[in-house]
Amino acid sequence: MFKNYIKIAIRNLLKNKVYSLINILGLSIGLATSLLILLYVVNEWNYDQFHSKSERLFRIVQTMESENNVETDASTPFLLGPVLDAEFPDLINKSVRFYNLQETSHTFRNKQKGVSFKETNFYFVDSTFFNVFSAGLLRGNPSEVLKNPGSLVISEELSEKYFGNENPVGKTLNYKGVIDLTVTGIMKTWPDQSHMEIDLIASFTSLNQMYGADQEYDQSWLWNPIWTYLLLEEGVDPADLESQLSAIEENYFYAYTGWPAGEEVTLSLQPVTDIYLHSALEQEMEVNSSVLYLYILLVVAGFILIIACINFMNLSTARSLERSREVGMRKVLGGYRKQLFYQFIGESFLICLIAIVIGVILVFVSLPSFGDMVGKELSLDLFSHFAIIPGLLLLTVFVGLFAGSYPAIYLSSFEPVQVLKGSVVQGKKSALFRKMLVTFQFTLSIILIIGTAVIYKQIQFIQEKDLGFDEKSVVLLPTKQNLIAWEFETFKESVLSFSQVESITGISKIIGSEKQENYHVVPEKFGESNDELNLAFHTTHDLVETFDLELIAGRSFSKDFPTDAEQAVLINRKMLEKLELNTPDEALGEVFYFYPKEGGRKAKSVIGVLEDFNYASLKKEIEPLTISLVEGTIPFLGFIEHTAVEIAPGNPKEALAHIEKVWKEVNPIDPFEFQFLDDRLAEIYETEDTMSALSIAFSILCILIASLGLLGLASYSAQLKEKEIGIRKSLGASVSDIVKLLSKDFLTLIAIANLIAWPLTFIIAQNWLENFPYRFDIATNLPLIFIGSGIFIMIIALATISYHALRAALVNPVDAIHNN
Amino acid sequence: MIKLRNIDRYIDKRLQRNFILKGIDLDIAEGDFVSIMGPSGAGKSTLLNIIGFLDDANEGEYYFLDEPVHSLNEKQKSEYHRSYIGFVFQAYHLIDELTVYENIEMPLLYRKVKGSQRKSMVADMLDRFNIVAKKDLFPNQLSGGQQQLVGVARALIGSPKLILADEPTGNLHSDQSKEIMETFKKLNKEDGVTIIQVTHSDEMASYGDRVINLQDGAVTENNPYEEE
Repeated sequence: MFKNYIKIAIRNLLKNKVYSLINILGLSIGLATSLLILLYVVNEWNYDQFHSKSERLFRIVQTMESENNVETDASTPFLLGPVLDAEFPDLINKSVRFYNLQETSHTFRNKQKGVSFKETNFYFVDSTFFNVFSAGLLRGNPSEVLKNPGSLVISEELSEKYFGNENPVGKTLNYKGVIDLTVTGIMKTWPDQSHMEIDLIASFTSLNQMYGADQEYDQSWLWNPIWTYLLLEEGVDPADLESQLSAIEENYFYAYTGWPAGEEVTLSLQPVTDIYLHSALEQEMEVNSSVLYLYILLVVAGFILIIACINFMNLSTARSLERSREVGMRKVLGGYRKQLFYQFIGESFLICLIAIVIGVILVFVSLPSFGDMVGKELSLDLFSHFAIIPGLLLLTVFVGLFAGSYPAIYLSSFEPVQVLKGSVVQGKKSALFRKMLVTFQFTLSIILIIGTAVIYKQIQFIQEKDLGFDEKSVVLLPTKQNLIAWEFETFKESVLSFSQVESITGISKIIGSEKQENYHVVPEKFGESNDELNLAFHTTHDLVETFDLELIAGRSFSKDFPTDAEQAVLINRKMLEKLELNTPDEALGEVFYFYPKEGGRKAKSVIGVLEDFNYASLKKEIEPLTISLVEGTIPFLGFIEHTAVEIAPGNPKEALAHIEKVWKEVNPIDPFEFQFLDDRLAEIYETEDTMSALSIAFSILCILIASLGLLGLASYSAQLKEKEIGIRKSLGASVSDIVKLLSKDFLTLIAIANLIAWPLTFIIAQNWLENFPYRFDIATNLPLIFIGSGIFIMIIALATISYHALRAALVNPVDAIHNN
Repeated sequence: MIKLRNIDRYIDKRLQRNFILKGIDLDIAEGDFVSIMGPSGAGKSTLLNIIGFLDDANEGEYYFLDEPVHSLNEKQKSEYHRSYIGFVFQAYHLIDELTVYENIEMPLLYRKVKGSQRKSMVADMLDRFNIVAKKDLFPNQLSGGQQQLVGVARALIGSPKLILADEPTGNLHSDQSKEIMETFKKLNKEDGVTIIQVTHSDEMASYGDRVINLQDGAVTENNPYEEE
């Protein structure tokens, strides 16, 4: 019997090649797309799972709360790790601290070979690193390699970069021209699926060599530049530890002299495996992803699969006429309805099985380019995990059941008396159901298209938004803790001597980037007791010129006023609100108190007001801001991280060559590096860019699959109406009349789909846009996006239908009537 | 074998009830060869369908081999189709995607006959109807008469006690029709198979030994030959 079913199924597939192709192709594309998305989601989901003790690994985060500011940092003070180890020996197995001098760029130099490179993924870590994290150590003893001061472990990749084929163990690399670090071990390349990126690690104790052990650089409980990770003892409930942390807050943070009155701190634990998808705190090691995107992708995968399944349902039921006689005859010969149901559901399994084989092939073919698109190395090895092949089969069964149930129920319900008499069984009910399914399909497609348009439009909006400063012609040079600090004025003058260079300044943080700093800055009029954090920015002369900022009152910093560094401050327009002032001019002369780290208080008065500019990324609102001037080597070393150079429009190559030349004269140690500011700012929106590219790709696929289904249905309805068309034509109907006749029904359905999709998408889009403080105005763009998408899909549908409508309309009426 | 008592079959329209069959009483004994005749719309096919369990009467009682058909469920009816009743249709109703061999084999599959036995039974049938050479052809490669032979072979392979034929020769020319009717007659005489056929043709009816005339849903003449 089974053989009989298979035979019938295969012969039916071969007999109706076009329908079979549409069915199988639609399902294959749908399955392939879903599998790709699944691979991506699984990849994202498994971040940091490679640590063998991952379920016991936690990161300590620190929330600081003052009267009008709440900030949660991923980082903590220096001493927290050792203090926790000492206070909770029963709960905590080991702690590991990470420190990168709060710098993103580290210069290493192999003196023998004379090669030096800048590295971004470098940390000083505690010697417990290899006990806590599962990093593969290729050479060296895990408990020894980070024990002594001056020890360095590097990845196999970097070993080759610095030492070629030599064995690097025992050799030294010079760090920043300050200390020599001896390579004690080589570790495997750090896995991509981690919220941290690590290429080199040095022993934490090396810091004493750098700073001098007597410097007490690590004693502050206010300064929190350290990422602290904990490995809990087995069986310890993290909530248990968390509940006891208030003692630490009390005894160490609040007890620290200089702890600001009224500021509360809360420590909490974050599972390491949750960081990548669930954590977007201040001071993250890297920009993390968000689980929200994964949910969106899963929904999209579901949509696409549903659309493909609906194609299958529609084509199967629409073409039921051709199978009806077989059903009737089988029943007459003694077949139970149940047996017929199984036969048809079996056929749908067979089709799904073929579709999934093709789908998996499509996945293999498209995986490299999909990987490029999402910036991941994805791979599918069918035999890498015992559950993959059963999983795929389960998916086949699920899709087969979902897509095949309705057709099977419908087909097996035919009564022999009716179908064998040859009366048409195109039930009104099934036709209505089919129409509903088509409408549903196109509703989903339209939601995806509009969603894509909204995402695209928003990203375009962000990228094109006037930030209030010139980001196009500015080049950034990393100059933190750099030799340039000693010779900054010389450097500046030499760089400026080239005609293509327009202006140059030093800045504390990158303007427009996500990371900015808060300091204790208090307006005098609020009184001293009011402790609060304000965004504070530090710069050298010529900030306003370099970034083309707009001065709306007063003056900028000037060399004509030698006291500016000590006594002057610039504010932005937003600060006026805070100061409860109406016009910029009123702000001039207002006094702010600054509380530097070294203690004491500095009073600075406002000399100028700047128009608001997007000082932080567009993911944040503009906040009140103070800008202070930095002059002299030591302050430069303390605050300035980048030098910004404005270059005249046109070819930047010559200017860059000139800057490089000057750089090498002033700083022979650090290799010359630069980045255009707009490129740097674009990195902030990488996730959104990827999402935009993905959603465009997926909506194209979605439309493709839905159109395939429409093509099948249209060709079938043209076939059914062949005779009617023949008669109409012989009565004088024109080709356009016929096309209209055949297209009208479908277009009505798509119009209804539009009407359903529009309000739904509007609500979803508005919700999504709420995440962005700066968003395009969806209301004024409604006609363009909504009606545009509607017309777009109408045109695609019309083109799909017309092919068959035209063909039917152009057939000689005599043939059509004769055939029937 | 078949006992119909006061069978009504009707369709309710909005204001009136249209009777297709009304008050049919009929007895058919095992071994009969009956022809149902009458003008178009007289209810011949409906009567045949009711006898073959394909349609249900609205009123009345139907006993098949003393079993009350009106109280059988769908599955039990399918059992009777498997074991007792074979159908032959005017339009043959062969399954296009199956070969001659596979079409004939199909009833056996539903009766769960073992593979080797099935083979010999189909081979017998092909032999008996002289269509061995055609066994791997598909229905659309055969003439109408050949298709109907396959249809008859398919009806017979389950060794039914009753064959129901709805205008079996309606689409065939006379030579082919004769061949089919001769086959029926032989089955009836030699194997004692009960045959009920619907036909318009007196010639075809004459192969049987009893004629039932239907007019407007009622039996007007029953057994005219016996009265002669």
